[in-house]
Amino acid sequence: MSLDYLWTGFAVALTPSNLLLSLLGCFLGTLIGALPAIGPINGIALILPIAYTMKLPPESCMILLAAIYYGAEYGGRITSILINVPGDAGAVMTALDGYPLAKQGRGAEALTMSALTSFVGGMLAVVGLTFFAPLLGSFAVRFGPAEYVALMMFAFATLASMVGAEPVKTLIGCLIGLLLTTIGLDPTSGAYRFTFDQPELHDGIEFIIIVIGLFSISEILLMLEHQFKGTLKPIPIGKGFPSWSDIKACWWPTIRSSVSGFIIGVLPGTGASVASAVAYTTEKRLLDKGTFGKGDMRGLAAPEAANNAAAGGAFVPMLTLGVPGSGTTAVMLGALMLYNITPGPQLFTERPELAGGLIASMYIGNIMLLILNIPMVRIFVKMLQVPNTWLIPAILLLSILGVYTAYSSVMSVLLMLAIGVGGWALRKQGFDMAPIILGFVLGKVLETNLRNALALSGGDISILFQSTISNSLWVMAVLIVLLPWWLARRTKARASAEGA
Amino acid sequence: MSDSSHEDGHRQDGLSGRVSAAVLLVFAAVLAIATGQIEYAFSSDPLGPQAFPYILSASLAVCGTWYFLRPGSADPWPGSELLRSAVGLIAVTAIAIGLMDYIGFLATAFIVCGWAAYLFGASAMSAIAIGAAQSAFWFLLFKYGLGTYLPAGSLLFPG
Repeated sequence: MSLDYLWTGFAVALTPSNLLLSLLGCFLGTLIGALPAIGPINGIALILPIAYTMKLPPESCMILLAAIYYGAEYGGRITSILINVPGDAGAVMTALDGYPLAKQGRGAEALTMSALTSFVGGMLAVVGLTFFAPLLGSFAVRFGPAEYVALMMFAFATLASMVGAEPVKTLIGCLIGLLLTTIGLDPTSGAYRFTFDQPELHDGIEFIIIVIGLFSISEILLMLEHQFKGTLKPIPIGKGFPSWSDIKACWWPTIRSSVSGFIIGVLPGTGASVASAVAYTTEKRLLDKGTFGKGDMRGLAAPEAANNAAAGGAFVPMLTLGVPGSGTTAVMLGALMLYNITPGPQLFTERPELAGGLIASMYIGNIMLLILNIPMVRIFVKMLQVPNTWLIPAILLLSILGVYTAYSSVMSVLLMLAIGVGGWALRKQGFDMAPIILGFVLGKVLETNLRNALALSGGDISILFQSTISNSLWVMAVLIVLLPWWLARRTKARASAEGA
Repeated sequence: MSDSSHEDGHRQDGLSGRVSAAVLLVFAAVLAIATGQIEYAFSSDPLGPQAFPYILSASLAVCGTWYFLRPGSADPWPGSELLRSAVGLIAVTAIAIGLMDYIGFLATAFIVCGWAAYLFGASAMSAIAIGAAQSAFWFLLFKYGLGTYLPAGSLLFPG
């Protein structure tokens, strides 16, 4: 494919006004992303009307929105790492190792590593977008319901890696997450499931309510417990830059996760949360020796690279097919339509300044974000030095605000509190929150696609095993579960043979 | 496995695990009954809206039984003083939120922040100051900085 559109794009993106918009977008996005529930979607939705009324040309508008998207993706990590309150769905996995790192006094290192791996993930995704956009667009349309079922089963197979010393608790957590997705209106049959005649439950339980409840509220209750035991200690800030050995250890997980994140981002309907979940569980499967979840830099690097790569990947179907790959790109697609522009393969030839300008601005935005954020890490991390009597009320109020501003409903906030108490009780019983979140993220996609696939085949289950893509995914899923088990058995058998 | 051994601050608390497992088993049964009561006229797919929840409740029952037989480790139950504070924090927060449309966001935020600060060790006077400062700061940021709707409260602004 000719790259002429990209050179045209760079000429557009490098004009002073567009560079300024890119910088403004990165900065605003980072601030917006750091506030719980005001993630990329809300950020873009807030800025879009302003950009439109300012009569920005379409390419400048898209450059600003893309910069906000990238900035918010990074901003969401700040609260996730420092205070265990994920700013958006894609930041949930980041909290699993990011927050323990902050508690160990390595918050600044974790934020810097997050900026670095986000940069690598973001850049690889833009390179992928530049060279493979039309090709990947046609690959993504070959994913039908059966292929999605296989992809979800592959994701669940990677989840098996989270089975630790108490597999039953992981499984129960996952089932609870899956169950939560069944609440609300079933779009296929029009039936209300487990809504108990409560109109607030008709649309199901929103992801942000579950995430803030399970992570933030339960964490506050655990902190209260530490306060009582006198074990709640101020968190040290630590040095700012990760060690060379940490960077080296994170290199391959970052590359692998960027590639998988980008591919998952390309698939419509999946996005950053699935990408970061798959990357985290895959790396845990490959590398974990009991350190993941306790503050392992690689457990932070993998989801960070993946969700930024997925953010870039989500632009592929949007630009080439007019099908948004994520909620945020759906809003951006709406922005293009405001300008009477219909994306599609012809966009690259008919409006090279727009497609090229957007892609070129992503290269520039990624570099800007890195330059902007690394010096700011020391400022962000000062948040940890705020006394608990100030910090914890702020976390509690931000959690309430996060849910209230998203849904304008008192019932949703009360539901978030109830879920938080449930999460606290489960954590006291030794349950991990991650499988619940994974079950929730994957559940809806799994059920919908399973039912769609069986509807297409008239109930014939063999449809799940008919295409090359789905069969490859099934084989990979089986391998990812069985291979480590088989290797462990072989090693054990060898050791006992040598002993004898 | 001993039910009363101690390790790393975690207690092998078989009883609390078994109680949780029993709750889970009851929940699985209730879920199966509730699934049976889902009403629908027709479904355009062969599985229908009940199959997935049935599969989940059956899996939950199997896992619940396994958990009951091998409850594993758990933290000890919280002491009564901690439990009182935890319940107090959640109850006061829930009541303040429940009244938000009536008393307004500012008053709700003041109560929530002040009470939380107090529970986390601030003196009564500092808690009032923290409540006032934080509620004002976040109200101004969200209301005027981000243009978010926050209720003023029908108590202060009737009609």
